[in-house]
Amino acid sequence: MRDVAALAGVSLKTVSRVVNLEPHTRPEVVRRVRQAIAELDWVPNGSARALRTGRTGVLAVAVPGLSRPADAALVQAVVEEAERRGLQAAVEPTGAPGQRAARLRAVVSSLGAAVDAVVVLGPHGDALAPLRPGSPVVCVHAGGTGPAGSTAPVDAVGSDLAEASGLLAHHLAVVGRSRTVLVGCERLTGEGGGLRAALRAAGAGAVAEVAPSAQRREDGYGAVDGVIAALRGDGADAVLCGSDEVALGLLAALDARGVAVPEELVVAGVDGLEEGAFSAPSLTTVSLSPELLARAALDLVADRLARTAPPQEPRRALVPVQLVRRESTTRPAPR
Amino acid sequence: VSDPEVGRPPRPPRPTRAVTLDDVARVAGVSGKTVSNVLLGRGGVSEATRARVRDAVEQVGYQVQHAGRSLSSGRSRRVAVVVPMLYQPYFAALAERLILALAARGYSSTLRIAPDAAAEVAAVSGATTSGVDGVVVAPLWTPVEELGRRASPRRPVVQLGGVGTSASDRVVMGEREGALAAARHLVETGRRRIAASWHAGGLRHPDDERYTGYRQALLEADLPVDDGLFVTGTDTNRRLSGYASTVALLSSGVEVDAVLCVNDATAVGVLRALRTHGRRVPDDVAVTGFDDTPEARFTTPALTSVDPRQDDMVATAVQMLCERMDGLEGPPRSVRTGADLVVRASSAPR
Repeated sequence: MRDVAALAGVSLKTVSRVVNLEPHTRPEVVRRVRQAIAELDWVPNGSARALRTGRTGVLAVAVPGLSRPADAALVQAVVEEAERRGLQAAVEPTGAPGQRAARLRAVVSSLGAAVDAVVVLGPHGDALAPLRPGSPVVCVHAGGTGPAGSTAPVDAVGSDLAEASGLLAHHLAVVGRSRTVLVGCERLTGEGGGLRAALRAAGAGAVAEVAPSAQRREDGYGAVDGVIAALRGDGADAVLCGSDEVALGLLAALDARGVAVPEELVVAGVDGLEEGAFSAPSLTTVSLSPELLARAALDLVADRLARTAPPQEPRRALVPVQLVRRESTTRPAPR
Repeated sequence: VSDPEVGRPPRPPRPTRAVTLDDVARVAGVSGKTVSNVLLGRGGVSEATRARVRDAVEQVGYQVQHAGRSLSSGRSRRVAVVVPMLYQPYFAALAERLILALAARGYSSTLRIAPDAAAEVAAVSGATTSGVDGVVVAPLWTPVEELGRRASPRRPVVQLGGVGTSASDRVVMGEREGALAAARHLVETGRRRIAASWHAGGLRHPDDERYTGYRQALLEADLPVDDGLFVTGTDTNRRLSGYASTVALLSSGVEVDAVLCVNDATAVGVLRALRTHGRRVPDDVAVTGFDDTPEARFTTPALTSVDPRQDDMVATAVQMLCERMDGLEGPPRSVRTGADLVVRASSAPR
């Protein structure tokens, strides 16, 4: 360890902090220590924790794709959180649905050899089913059925989508809306989301549903005819979108069609993308807090590496979400 | 009496002692720590010493050892893609395209997010990317000259974008052409006080091709290049940066009729700042971006931008890297790609 400290130009205490994944070491210093460890082929001895965590210092992050801004934000958050804890992140693209299972299996098969732990983002099918319980693998479900629906024998974290539904429904009631259109809301109306019930309970029940599987800006833009039909025909006064991308596309289309937001229709999304703070009007949303998801995922991984959690019980952690009130539901945007 | 050698397999070559860092240090006549500094791309070592260490590495055939490194000497058919961040949509899209293009050639990818110069160098030198056959890097923090020098001699590196000349293969983005086209468009549509919303660091570097394009268009039109119209934010890859610098510009009392932005992220912040400060776009102020990110089509109004032909850049980079990984020798190559102005409502004539 003395050699590692000398080569990295840091104190013994710093090496120990890095090896034990303690926070509060600058990423640059962490990298230097990791490089020195790799170069000297040093295996920390002592606790089982140090033995396991000191092996490669690499965390694999399996990601299906980066073209969606919410996915990119989650990957960025996981990478930053890993670095904060002294793990170097290797982002492993798992690609199109056809090859995903094979790529995922390749990534988890490098456990213990090239990587210490794996964070799996997005759907994983049954690719993780053969894993030994207690493996240092954690699945992150930002949407969908959430961690409760995970079939993998490993830990899982996810956003509290039921809370998201409740916050949105309550907010619509607070701003005086009662007739809601759903656009691309599949992820919230399914199991674990409970959006329809939450809206009914708040007195802002759904009067129409448009393009339930819409995901991207283009989809939101294209949903404008259906939304305007609900506005004119069903007296709709609010729109909930299942993603910020859909909401941002819809905002652009409503502007082009001369529908005033929020006066005629209030619009809200889900995700908490940075660009929603800059749109015209700025977008009310529920932030799925990628930083909190990343922190929860890395907490679970660190426990597995330290073997402080019982291996036979995969854990499921729900991460709270946050309502971000902006112009699209609350006040006219400056013209 | 038979020949004892007959019928036996040829004797395997005697295993030789692994070459260590100390061997490199001895040959180079420096300390092990210095060798390590050079291999890890740290500063504080003179160029002469660095050259000596690199020569020694070559001479003794030293390989940096890493846990998890593939033990076989064969190729991994794996490429490292290095981008500075994913929160800037340009780099997320670039990474996605590179990964897909490499997959089409039968290469899997591993992605590194390099938040600073040290991480960028570590990814290019191999310290954090062991076991790959090649590296594609979109440099941001390190000059391309420097990154080209840090590349391992046995592992090809292609750089995408960035400023300067390089010792590695490189795809040069159509930055000057793109900014020139955007600025000419603003001049031709009657704008006369054209602000530039720019990078915080490296102001008006002579190699800053986007700035060169902007300046050229103003000079062509006999418009003054006014320092008061050149504004910078804290982090040009964040929308907030364009917002903050525009608020500062407007509150300084300077009047402008256009803002040419260094990228779309900045432009999105600029649009918001103009709107919240009572300027109409495009009636009072025209705005242009650069990158043509997916966001540009859906801003209000839709954002005029420069499409840097990312598909061309990616295809060219992957082609060059594959040729090098297949053994092509020769001096570093540099290929320029073009750029296209995409006119939308944010710069419509008044």
